[in-house]
Amino acid sequence: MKTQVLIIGAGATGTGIARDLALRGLQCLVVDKKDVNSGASGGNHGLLHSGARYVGSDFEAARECADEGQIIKKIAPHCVESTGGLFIAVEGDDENYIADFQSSCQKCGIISQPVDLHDAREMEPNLSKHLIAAYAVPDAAVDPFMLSLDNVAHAQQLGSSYLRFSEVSGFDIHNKKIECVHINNTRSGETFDIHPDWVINAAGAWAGRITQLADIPVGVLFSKGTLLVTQKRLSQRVINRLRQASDADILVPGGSVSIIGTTSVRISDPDDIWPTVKEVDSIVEEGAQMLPVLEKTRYIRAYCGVRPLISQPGAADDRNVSRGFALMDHEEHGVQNMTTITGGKLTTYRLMAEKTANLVCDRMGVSVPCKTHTTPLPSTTDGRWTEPGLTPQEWMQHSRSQDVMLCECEMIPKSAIDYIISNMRSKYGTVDLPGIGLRSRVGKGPCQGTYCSERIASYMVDRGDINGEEAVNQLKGFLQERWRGQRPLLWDIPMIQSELQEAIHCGFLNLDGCLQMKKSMEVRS
Amino acid sequence: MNTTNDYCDVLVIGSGMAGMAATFFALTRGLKTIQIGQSCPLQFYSGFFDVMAVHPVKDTTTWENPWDAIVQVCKDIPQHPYAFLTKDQILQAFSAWFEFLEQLNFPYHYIQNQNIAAITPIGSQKLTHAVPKTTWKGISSMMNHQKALLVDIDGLKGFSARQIKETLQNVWPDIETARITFPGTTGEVYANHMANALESSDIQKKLIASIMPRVHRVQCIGFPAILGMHHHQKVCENLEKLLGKPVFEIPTLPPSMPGIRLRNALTHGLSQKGGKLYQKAIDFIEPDGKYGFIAHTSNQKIFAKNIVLASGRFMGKGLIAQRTAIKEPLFDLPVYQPEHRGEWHHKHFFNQEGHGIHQAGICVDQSFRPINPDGKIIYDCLYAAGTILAHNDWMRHKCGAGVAVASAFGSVKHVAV
Ligand SMILES: Cc1cc2nc3c(=O)[nH]c(=O)nc-3n(C[C@H](O)[C@H](O)[C@H](O)COP(=O)(O)OP(=O)(O)OC[C@H]3O[C@@H](n4cnc5c(N)ncnc54)[C@H](O)[C@@H]3O)c2cc1C
Ligand SMILES: Cc1cc2nc3c(=O)[nH]c(=O)nc-3n(C[C@H](O)[C@H](O)[C@H](O)COP(=O)(O)OP(=O)(O)OC[C@H]3O[C@@H](n4cnc5c(N)ncnc54)[C@H](O)[C@@H]3O)c2cc1C
Repeated sequence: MKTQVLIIGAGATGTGIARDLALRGLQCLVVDKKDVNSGASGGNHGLLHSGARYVGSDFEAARECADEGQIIKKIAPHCVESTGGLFIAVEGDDENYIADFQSSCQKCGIISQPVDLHDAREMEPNLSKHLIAAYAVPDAAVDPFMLSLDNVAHAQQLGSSYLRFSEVSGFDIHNKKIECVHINNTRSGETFDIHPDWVINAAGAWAGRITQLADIPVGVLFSKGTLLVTQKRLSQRVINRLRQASDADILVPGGSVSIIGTTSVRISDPDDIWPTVKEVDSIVEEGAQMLPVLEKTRYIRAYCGVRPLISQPGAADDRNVSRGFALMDHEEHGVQNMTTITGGKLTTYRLMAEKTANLVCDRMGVSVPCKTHTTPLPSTTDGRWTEPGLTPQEWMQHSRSQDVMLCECEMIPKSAIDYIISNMRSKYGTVDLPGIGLRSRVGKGPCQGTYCSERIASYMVDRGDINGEEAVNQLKGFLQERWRGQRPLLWDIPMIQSELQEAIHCGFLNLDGCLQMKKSMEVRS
Repeated sequence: MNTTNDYCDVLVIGSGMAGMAATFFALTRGLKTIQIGQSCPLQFYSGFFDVMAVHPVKDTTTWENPWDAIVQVCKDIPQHPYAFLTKDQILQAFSAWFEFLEQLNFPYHYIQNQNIAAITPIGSQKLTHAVPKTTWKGISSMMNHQKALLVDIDGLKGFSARQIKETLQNVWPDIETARITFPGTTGEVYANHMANALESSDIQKKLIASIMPRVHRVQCIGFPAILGMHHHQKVCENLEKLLGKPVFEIPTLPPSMPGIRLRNALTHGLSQKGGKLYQKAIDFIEPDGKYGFIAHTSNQKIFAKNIVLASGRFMGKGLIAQRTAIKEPLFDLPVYQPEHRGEWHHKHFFNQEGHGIHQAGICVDQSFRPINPDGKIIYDCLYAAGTILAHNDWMRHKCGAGVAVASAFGSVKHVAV
């Protein structure tokens, strides 16, 4: 297989680069060892930063966010909910930090308006009674799945391609050039080669592992952040704690839910990440200082992502270092056709893509300028089912009485699943239950997939998409992925829900056991 | 609102399998019995009567003989509810229970000393001990490698004949499938609506019209569990007459007809036996020097000499999970539980050993009276039965219904009046 540019990683950065280069007329191939947004881009807060969060620690990052936030709102309005944001402090918070906040914002070009405390509580009734300061900033919420899916889809429309389940496992380097990239299909186990002119390593936290394959040492440390999704939306705006960045100080609304987080925990393996009970408890307790309702509200899921930290000795708190991005040209390391881009933020993905594409185009002798800051991101159908509440609207509008609701929590009918399946089929040739989960709200409602996973699996067997055995394996895989996010939140109603789930899947369907009895068993009677 | 007073020898709290069985055993003993249950958990029940099939859970060792399994479990887990009963007592409980179900026109089939591999709606197999007769016919056809026609229905979610056929292909190679439209329906259909509709012989005829041409090629015909609501046996007999072949059912995802029928049959049968069954919540209970306990509902005061607590786990609300601890809400009984929430659930949902939380529950002595950590009986006339009991992971051992009935028997046996 040949391609002009091979992009490793289908997160916000990799997919953003693919679109950027495709708009400049280059042909790219994006590969991901899992699927779109299976790294940090699928495990983040979904906050389109106004930049105000960074005014106390990193002026440059603050400014970048301020500019990029504006651009994303313009080019991809369908991915953004312009909620606005509040920074609030409660009794006991650092008065000096509060005093400097507004002028720091000003220096970075961020508009922050003081808000009367009484008004603030009227705007957001769930805020603590112990407010001592409040400022309004232009924060927003962004749907990272829609963003990346639309970036890939647009790149594909422009002639580029995307392969999922394709893990880069090695390079053949001759005369200081990568000639061949070995790919391992993580589903089938098959291997194949790609011959690219240029390789872009956009593997996020895994970037160091990729450079290692080319014998280039890049020290990457891993910091895990955990987030909790509430069942109800708790605020209209993004709520930030007005203090030096710390645990559980941002609440981001999105559609019908809210997300509170995050934590920051050093870990050693980015592939082995779990939201823990300890983190959940700390998020609930810390978060409740801003919004006491967080103590009582129902949570439906916890998840986490990994921030890559390009090693900087001496930094005390992982949250406060290198939120900026690292763009590395590897010529100096003895590989002439490879570039690494890692770190940064979702908010600045476009800028990161632009800078990377500029460098690569420059080196490849392509002189077409970047277009992504002005060319609107087309809203494709690939991303549309990820938006909470969209499917019901579609369904109601068409009001198809023939249709069957496969997922009742998120109101996803058979016809939507048909649509997603045929779309996946035409793009990748294969379909799978986790892939459908990624491209829709399946399994994301209060029942967390207890019923819909089984129904969709059996529907897929019915359609001939997968066989009976695959259905069982995919069902187990899907439930385990959901479980990762349920496990630390199982008290109150979610505990009841999870008991029902286990009663059905283990008690009744025996998915924990051996599903087929030995021959001796069947004939004895 | 007016409150009424009620008096009884035994108040059974819970209308799940354990509550039903406790009510039955108490009435059989001639005791004045009231049952109060808030929800209808039996509608989630598949109809499979598990006794004991897997132990040790961590090795997923399966047992062909449930009694051998029980002996081993009692050795390894001396606090398991079965360990408080002899084999004879358990047998006595089960045979009385199955006899009662037979009387209620809800016959069960089992093979003495043997577990059987039941068929689930995804085509997996599960070891259980006894199943309703119409479920059994499918299992026996499978064991005998008969040719079968398996029917599924347009708009019935989570039940695909093709999936069952494919998953079972190694153990039951001769399945044909047929998809039919349920008479008079379009779009989504529900098992309970179809079960009700099928009580009409007109609908029965219409249902099978489209499969008639294929019936001569097979030896039996399987359906999702929709064959009748109140007259299940009769519906099956009619269909067998029309088709000229045996019919069988495979339970659907819950709520499932075998469970709904069982609930209906038991509610009716226990009332007939003289039980008073109410569907409502008990708000609180006070111990009473004279009567034992006074239980309060929204409009009732129940003076009970004894209470059998069959209030279930989290689903039943017999146990409540707070963020920091698990509580028993009615008596605030001590709950055996892992030390902190981090140990409640394993990282892997299908973890072989099961989850720590499922060891949690109420500890009882040999007489099924709740005890405190020192082994002291908490109330002389309080008993506990069913899934609320500690050291009883029914989902992994596959022993839900069996433990419910056996422990109900054990509790009621010790009730003194
Ligand atoms: C907890 C948390 C909260 C955050 N919140 C916000 C926020 O609110 N706002 C914001 O702007 N930013 C936020 N960020 C930062 C933002 O999520 C990331 O900067 C951004 O998603 C990084 O995208 P990426 O594409 O560079 O990396 P990733 O999304 O991690 O993508 C890397 C991809 O590479 C793939 N890959 C790895 N190895 C291989 C291989 N060998 N072969 C093929 N593919 C491979 C992975 O599967 C993965 O999909 C947050 C980050 C975290 C961790
Ligand atoms: C999905 C599912 C599948 C199953 N599959 C199988 C199977 O394949 N094989 C098998 O053997 N068993 C199966 N079971 C059944 C399981 O065995 C039974 O749930 C269990 O054995 C009996 O539970 P229980 O009666 O102890 O409690 P529950 O069934 O939970 O009943 C508790 C009862 O107590 C009542 N209650 C609690 N607190 C109060 C209060 N304050 N006031 C009034 N009422 C109260 C509740 O309303 C409820 O009626 C399944 C169950 C479920 C849910």
